Amino acid sequence: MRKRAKPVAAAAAVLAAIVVAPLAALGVVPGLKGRYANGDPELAVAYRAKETCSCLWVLEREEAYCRAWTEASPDVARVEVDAAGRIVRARALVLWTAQARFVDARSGCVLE
Amino acid sequence: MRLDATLVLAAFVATSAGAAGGEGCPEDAAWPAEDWPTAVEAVRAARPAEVKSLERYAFTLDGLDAARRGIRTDGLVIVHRGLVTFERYGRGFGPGTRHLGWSVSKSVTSALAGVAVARGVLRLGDSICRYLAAPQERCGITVRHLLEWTSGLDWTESYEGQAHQASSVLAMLYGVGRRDMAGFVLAQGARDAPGARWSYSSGDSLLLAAVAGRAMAAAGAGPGWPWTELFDPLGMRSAVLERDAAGTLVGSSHFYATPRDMARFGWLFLEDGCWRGRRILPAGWVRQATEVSPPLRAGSPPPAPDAVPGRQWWLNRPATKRGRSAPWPGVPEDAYAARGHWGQAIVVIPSLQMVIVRVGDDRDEGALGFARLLRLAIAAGKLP
Repeated sequence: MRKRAKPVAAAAAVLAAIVVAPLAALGVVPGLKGRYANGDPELAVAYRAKETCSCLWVLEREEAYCRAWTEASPDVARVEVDAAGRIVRARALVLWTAQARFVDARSGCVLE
Repeated sequence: MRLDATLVLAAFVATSAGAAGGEGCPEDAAWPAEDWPTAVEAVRAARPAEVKSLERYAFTLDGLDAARRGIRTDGLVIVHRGLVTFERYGRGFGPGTRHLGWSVSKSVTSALAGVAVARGVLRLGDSICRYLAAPQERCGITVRHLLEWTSGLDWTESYEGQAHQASSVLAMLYGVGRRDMAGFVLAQGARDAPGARWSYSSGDSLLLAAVAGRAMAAAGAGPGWPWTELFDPLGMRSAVLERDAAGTLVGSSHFYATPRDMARFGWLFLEDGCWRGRRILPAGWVRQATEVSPPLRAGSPPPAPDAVPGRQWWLNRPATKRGRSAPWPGVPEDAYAARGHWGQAIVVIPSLQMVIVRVGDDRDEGALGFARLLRLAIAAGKLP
């Protein structure tokens, strides 16, 4: 048992170093850095989904421009564009997702 | 030059006051028809050095685009006495491309509130609880407090590059508040008594949009009222104003239009809230919008040296009679501006009959010298 415990503890420590510390640094742990329970990954996916949607179908700029224009720090969000459905989805670190949809020519995009 | 003159004659529609609802409207004003008439080539021929200086300052990129450094102008349009005298775009933008206004939206929202007041469905002295389902302890906040950024709500207006979890505006737009932004703002605590202290807040502006929207809806207006009552009469066909999932207009941040249409919005204010002799904003609204916020007049210090607030507008006036000088030196003191993140601006200068619109992507917020840009623009954009 003892022999097994050490690798487990070591693995936990490594896991903590790889996963928990960066998450803490990103502000994922609520209340750690400020007053609102929204960490950087949540803000990043919502910001990129909404602003990419508006960039594509309100500004009517090309996708490459919109990807660069909405790039934010920390750059954790991955963006998928559904051009046919006029929907933008953004994901970060498995857990966080957001989706924005183009509504119409007056109301632009909405975060769902 | 001959072409310009022909365009002017063809495109201008002279209007006279006296139309229904035209109380106190300027009588000799001229308005853009289908599009702004232009005198760009005539002005360039008459003032080549000034035009070149303006272009060099506003449109010279600093290093690689990806580095996001320096002054990054996407569009610059100057209207003088009703004619476009300078127009240039950069970084893939053009006359038909909308641009995000960011906090320019707040000045647009103030006009939407003005429309609702003109319709008689919104009163500045009313509690917000008349229009919104707000907690009882927030009922001391009036519509005027929202307009003057004095709600007293505890709010942190900070953007990217600062502590994200402390930012009320990021939480409202993209975080915990995004689905129901008005509900989020109303759930904030109070820091001051309403009216006691000035504090810049996208939350106040968002609530102002919510209040105006509820007031118009209660009077039977459909969701398209910002267009039918404001944007369409001005011919702002590019205007977009987004909503949150609860249907509230994101009047703090998410207004879009082409720079030419933003100039139309500026022109509405330059002409005292009238368009083609028809009064869109109440008589006196523009004058009150461009008076220094009452708590600042009373002596509390302005938030930043170049920021003297009116009602959702920024003024080039000393905050107090004995106070410091006007924030944009070398620019007429009657100038005022709608200003947004990353360098967006609609500048109105009544004494010069001039509107200057600048849109950009300045991620390096200190790079653009706002007063310098305006001085160069005024020199380059005057009709010969």
